[in-house]
Amino acid sequence: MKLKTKILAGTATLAFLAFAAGSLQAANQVTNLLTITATIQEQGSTNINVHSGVTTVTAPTKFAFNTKQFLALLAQDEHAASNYNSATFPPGAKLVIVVSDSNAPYFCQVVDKNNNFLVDVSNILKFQTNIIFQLYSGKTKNYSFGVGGDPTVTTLHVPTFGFDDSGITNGVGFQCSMVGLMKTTVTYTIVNRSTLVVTTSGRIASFAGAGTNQSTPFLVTGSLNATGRRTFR
Amino acid sequence: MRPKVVATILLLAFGALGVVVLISRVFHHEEGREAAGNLPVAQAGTTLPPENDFPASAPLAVASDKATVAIPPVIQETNHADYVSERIAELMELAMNDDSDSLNTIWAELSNPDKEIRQGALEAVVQFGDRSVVPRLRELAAQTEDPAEAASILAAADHLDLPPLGEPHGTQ
Repeated sequence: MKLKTKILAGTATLAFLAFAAGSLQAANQVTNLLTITATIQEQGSTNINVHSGVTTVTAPTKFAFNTKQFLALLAQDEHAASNYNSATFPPGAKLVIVVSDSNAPYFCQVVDKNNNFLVDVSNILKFQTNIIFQLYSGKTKNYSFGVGGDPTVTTLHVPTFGFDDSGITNGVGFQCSMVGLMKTTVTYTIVNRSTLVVTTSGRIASFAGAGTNQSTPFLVTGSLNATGRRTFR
Repeated sequence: MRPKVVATILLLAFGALGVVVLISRVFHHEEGREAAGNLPVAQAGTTLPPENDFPASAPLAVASDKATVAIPPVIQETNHADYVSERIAELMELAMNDDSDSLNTIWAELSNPDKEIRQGALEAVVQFGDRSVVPRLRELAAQTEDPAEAASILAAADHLDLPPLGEPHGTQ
């Protein structure tokens, strides 16, 4: 296979889920730090004036929702499921997604600030994309012409990601599903003629979704980032 | 006779020089091929080193004035882009902490000359989730000349000002 074909094929495999860089468990698996910033809107309250017969419904109630809150929910749920020995994660804990370059399923994990594994949360957090519907473009380099001209490949796809703890007894009671257009850029840089640096930057600039929090319905909007970096020497 | 000897020596010297140049080009070409062998597809089956290899103090590729003269523009751009992405990743990792040192480091980058790093720092401030910085963010927005950037700072302040999920409104 020609080198440029290899790069495109490899990148497409790795990047369709928007992530490449790092390894936590085995060869050919890649890990990315995931961050989410969202606004949750719940139904506003209803006020009925019995004298005038007018019913007034307030504007939706807004709440902030970010990665730390996501982690807080996951800690409570995994503790309830007896998968983690505490109902909170230590400060600096991070949410990562590990993606294989084979057809093996990806999985979601929580690691501590030093990237030590804490717990697998794939039983609650799901991240899926349809590989048929991905568009990729970019630049490759025929290396018989020498190093330089670092390849960059960009992929567009529409992943669905969800949080569902309905299977956990005494869980938090949080379920939601979100979807949005994700753009991922994977850059290969050769440093000092012998070191390959793979940098990945994936972003959903705007996602939307719906769910329930302890049976209260809500709508959610926000953005998601996935970043990773690997050095091959 | 002597001029012939001199001419012969000169010819031999030029010939030797040519051979040296040719050999050096061939070796240079081979190095390029070796480097190409390090592409990710060639790594299949190898065990990868520990993940997320972010150096604590990344070599700042934001070239100094001296380096600006020496490094070709394309390499400069690549190094700077690498530095920016590394720095933003570091800020995002700091945002997962709860200590004031981490917040101060993130906050300091809101005045970085690089717009991308400022934007990354702003996202890290939101991820950090400390609502006490909202007034300072609004002040910063008022002092920011770029209308789009000021709007994004205000949006971040508005988002941080919202109660977190699970906390009733008006309990801040």
